[in-house]
Amino acid sequence: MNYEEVLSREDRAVIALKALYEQYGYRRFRIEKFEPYDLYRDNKNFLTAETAITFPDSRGRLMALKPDVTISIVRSFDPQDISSKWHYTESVFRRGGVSEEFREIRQIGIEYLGGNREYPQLEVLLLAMKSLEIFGREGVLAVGHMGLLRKLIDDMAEDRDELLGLLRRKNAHDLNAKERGKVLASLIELPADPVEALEYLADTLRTHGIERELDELRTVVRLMASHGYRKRVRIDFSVIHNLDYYNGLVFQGFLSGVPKVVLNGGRYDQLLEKMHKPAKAIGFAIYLDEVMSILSSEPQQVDAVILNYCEDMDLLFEAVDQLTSKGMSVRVYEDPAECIPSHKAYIFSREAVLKEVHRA
Amino acid sequence: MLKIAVPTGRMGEAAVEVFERAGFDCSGFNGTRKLIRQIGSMQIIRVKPSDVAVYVEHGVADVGIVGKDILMETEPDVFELRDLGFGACRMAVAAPEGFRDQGDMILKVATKYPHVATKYFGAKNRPTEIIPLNGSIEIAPLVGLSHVIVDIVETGTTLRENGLVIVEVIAESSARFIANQASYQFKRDEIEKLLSAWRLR
Repeated sequence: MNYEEVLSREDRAVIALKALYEQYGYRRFRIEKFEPYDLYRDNKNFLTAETAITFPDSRGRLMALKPDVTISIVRSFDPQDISSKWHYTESVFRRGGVSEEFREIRQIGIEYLGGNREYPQLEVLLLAMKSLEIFGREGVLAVGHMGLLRKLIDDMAEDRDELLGLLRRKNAHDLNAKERGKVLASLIELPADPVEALEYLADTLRTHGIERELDELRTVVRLMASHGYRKRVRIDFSVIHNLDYYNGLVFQGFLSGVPKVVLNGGRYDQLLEKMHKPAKAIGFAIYLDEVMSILSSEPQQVDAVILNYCEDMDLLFEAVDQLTSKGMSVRVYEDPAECIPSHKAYIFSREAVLKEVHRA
Repeated sequence: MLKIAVPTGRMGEAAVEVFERAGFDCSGFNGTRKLIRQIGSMQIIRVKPSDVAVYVEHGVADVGIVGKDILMETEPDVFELRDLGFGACRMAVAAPEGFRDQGDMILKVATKYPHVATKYFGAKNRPTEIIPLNGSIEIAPLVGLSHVIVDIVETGTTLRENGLVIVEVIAESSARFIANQASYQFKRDEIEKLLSAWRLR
C-alpha cells in the first residue's frame, strides 16, 4: 500500500515542515496537556489577550489546559547548557473570541534557545520564510524590531501602549495628532522593497541612535535576498509583540488567500530573563487552523466502489478482501445514489457474484 | 481585483460621492438596492455600517469605509489607513439638562456602544450599569430607563429637541479607510492607487 496516498494535504504540509526543521537540527519536543496554572500565572501577559482554561485537580491545585508551548520549552531549558533547538506540533487551549469560547489552536513551530545573537536569528527567519513556501502559495514575511521601537518611545511613558496600538493599526492620522507619536507615524508608509525601506529609515531616523538595530535588519534582508526572497520580505513596524517580553526582531507571515496572520515569531530574551534563565531566544509558530482554508482536501475518492445486493456478509467481506489485497481502497454501498467517485465500480449481486460495471 | 465594503446609509452615500469625485462612474448607485456592484476593476459590497469591519477583518472585503465610532466599539484587527474626514461626529455622554452626577449612586448608562461606555467609565473608576439599546437612545433618560446616554452626536438637534445636553465628549469620530492585514501585504499597490485617486495622500 502506498502510504503517501492516504495523507491529506494538511498532513503532507506538516510532514514537510517537520522534515525542514529536522534538516536544520531541531528535535521534536513533546509536552503534557495539563500543567499547574502557576507556570503561566507569572507570565500570563505573554499569552496576549486570551486566557488559559483552568480547573482544580483532586487536591484543589489549580491546573491549566496548556495555553502555550514556548513557556514549557523555556522551562526545560538550562542556560548553562549548550544551545537547544526544538520543533513541536501541538494544540494549545485558550478562552477567547467574542463569546469567550474555549478554543483549540493547532500550532507547529520552532524555538532556538541559547547560542549567540547573530546566526540563530538568521536561521530562524530563513526557516520562517521556507515554511511559508511549503504551503505552495505566495507568502510574505513582514519583519519589525521591538528594540528599535523601544529607542523611539519612552518605555515608561503612560501612553506607551496607546501609541504602539496606533502603530500596530498603521494609524498615522491619530499618531500625527500626538506630539510623541510623530516619529512613529514616519514608520508607517515604508517602501515595499526592503532595501529601499532600510535606506529610508537610515535617512529619516539618523539622529535616533538605531544603527545597531538597522544593521540587524540589513543582515536579514541581505540573507533573504541571497536566497531569492527579496520580493517576499517587508520591513513593517506594525508587527508588534509585547514589549515586556520581546526585545529584538519580530515577524509575521502571510499567505495569499488567507485573511489572517498565519505565522508569528520573534526574539524574546526578556521572557527568559523573567524566568531566571538569561540567554538568547527566538522562535515562531504557524497557526494550522488559519492555513486550513487553503489546505482543505479534495473530495474523498476511492479506487473502487461496490454496490452490494448480497445479504451474506461473509461473502461480501471475501469480495472486499479480494480488492483490498490488490492494494485498492474500497467503499461498500447499498444505494447507488450515494456512491462517491472511483476509478472502478462493481456490483455484488444477490447471488454473490462480483462484476465490474462501467458507469456512464 | 480590490473588494471594497461600503456602508449603506448616509456614510455610504458620502463615500459614493468620494468615488465620483475621483472619476469613478457610480451613476444610479445610490438609488439601487443591489448589494454588489462593479466599478472598473473594483467590486463594491454594500453592508450594514456596523458590519463593514467584520467583512474586512475576515478578508471577504480587502478594504472598507467605516465610522471611527464602530471601530472603537468593536476593536477589529484591521489597519486603519486614513481619516477620510466626512461623516464627522462626536461620541459623547449626554444627560437631561440640569442633571449633575453626584457620584452617590450607580450611574445608569443607556447606549448603542456598551464596550466604549464600559471602557470610558471604567477608566474613570465610575461604577455604572450599562443598558444596551439598539436605537432611539435619547428616550432612555426621559422615561427613567437611565441617567445618561453614550451616543454619537452630529448636529445636536435630536438632543436639543429631547431636552438633553452633552456632558462630556469621549472622542471625535469620522469615516475611516480600513484594510485587511493580509490584503495590505498582497494588494498594497491597488490600495495605494485607490487612495491617491481620492487625493487623500
